[in-house]
Amino acid sequence: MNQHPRLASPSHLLSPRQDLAIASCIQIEVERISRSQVLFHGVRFTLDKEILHQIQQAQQMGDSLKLSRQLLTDLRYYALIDDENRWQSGLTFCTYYQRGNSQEALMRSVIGMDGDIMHQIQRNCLERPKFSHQISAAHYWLIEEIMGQLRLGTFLPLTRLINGLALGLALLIAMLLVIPFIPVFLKTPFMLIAALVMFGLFFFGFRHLLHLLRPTANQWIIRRILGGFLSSKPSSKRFAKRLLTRLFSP
Amino acid sequence: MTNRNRQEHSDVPVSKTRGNNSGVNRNINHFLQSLGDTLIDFTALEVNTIVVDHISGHKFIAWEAYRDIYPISPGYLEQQGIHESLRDRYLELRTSLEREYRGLLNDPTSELHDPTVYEEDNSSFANDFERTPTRLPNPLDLKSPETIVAIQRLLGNCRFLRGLRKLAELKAALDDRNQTVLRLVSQQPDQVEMIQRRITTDTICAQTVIQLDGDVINRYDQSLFHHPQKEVILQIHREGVIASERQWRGLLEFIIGLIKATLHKS
Repeated sequence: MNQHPRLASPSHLLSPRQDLAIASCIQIEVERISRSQVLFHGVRFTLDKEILHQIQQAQQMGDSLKLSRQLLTDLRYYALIDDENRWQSGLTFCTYYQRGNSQEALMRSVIGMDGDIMHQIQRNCLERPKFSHQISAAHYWLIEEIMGQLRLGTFLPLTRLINGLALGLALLIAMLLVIPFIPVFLKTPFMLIAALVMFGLFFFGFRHLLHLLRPTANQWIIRRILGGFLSSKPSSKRFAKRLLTRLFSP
Repeated sequence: MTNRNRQEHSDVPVSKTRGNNSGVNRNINHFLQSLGDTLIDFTALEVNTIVVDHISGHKFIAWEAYRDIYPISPGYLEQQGIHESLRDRYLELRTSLEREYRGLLNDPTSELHDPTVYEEDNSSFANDFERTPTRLPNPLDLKSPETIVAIQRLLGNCRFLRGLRKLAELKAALDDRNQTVLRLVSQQPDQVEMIQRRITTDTICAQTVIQLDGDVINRYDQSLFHHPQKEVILQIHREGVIASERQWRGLLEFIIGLIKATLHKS
């Protein structure tokens, strides 16, 4: 859980421009039925000739798609919880193809949480084998990219925070110890080295101690997020989503 | 005095937070429990590829899906104007729903387990549709509070919901097919036989089940082998199986990572 998936995988990243173009075809379909209740219907991919071409290129190059933090947070939320705060029963992905002004649904997949997966493909689409193959490959690839990035990455600001805190504490203690003996330090400059060594020891000591607390902090925050997700209050949900978006790397 | 007052004041929110916290913890634990139960139930990855006339924009709403599948019976289908050739498949959906429920009633680990309903032969319902009484609570009879509670309990069960979702998806495809058939029949009333033949050869389905022990089982509709686009369908299915395995693994890693992070300090 501490290992960022992308560090481990040898795949390349797409250029930001391509990322944007491909990611713009991903849309979460929701329907607000009351102030506090939102129905999640699924994820919609709207492809056209250009996007299909870019996806093909990305597949050939083994590139991976970078999803925005916000989108990822929403997807993680809906992958877990349904509109009644129960565990999500399945995720629906639908691919539409745009020709001119009209859009036609060509593929639909329902991924059940128990490992039951159903892919539907439109009959007429099969009459053009090459096209149908491109569509299905793009459809599968997009779902794969999304699912592969759901896993929580590293907890972002904690390392920085720990270093900062350890540094601050070490500085504070070193100063408290040094200030009363300033005249001594002025007389014997080599004592400065001793002070620096002491400061270093404090810094590493504190850092180590804070690192020991890290799992507890991690667990606490994840429970916070999950608790917020499961709460019936929209404000708690929003807060939990914000925490997830800000604190975890995509 | 002021100090004591302050103490008393500050006590109120503290106890309130504690109450909230235990509620939150209960929610989290219950949620994790249902995640864990599903993971334990997981025995195989099942990938189905289906060719359909239209991809329906069907939206899954548990209550509506249940209300629409529950009343299915030969009489109801006739009344709804479902074409004869498709009725068996509708009845199959209804039977699956019943079977799903009886499975839960008979399963001691399920929260819906009912020790008074033990049936050795789970399939009896399928054999005699009309005469075997259903055990499912009736969503069309909302006068009795017990029924409402029973339905709420049923639709709160993750396993039942997952099954229902799959059936709703199949029903949407069938509804769509029915529309097409009725349209064709009304356009070419003299070709009913041909249309019926087309229906039986036109629903293509390929299924691959990958079991935990590594066994892979492939099932294909017979009609697939005579289909003009046989190769395309098979290729799309094969690629779907490979992709599904990765898609599913991504989801699983996310969920397991979350459970681990919530339960253990690791």
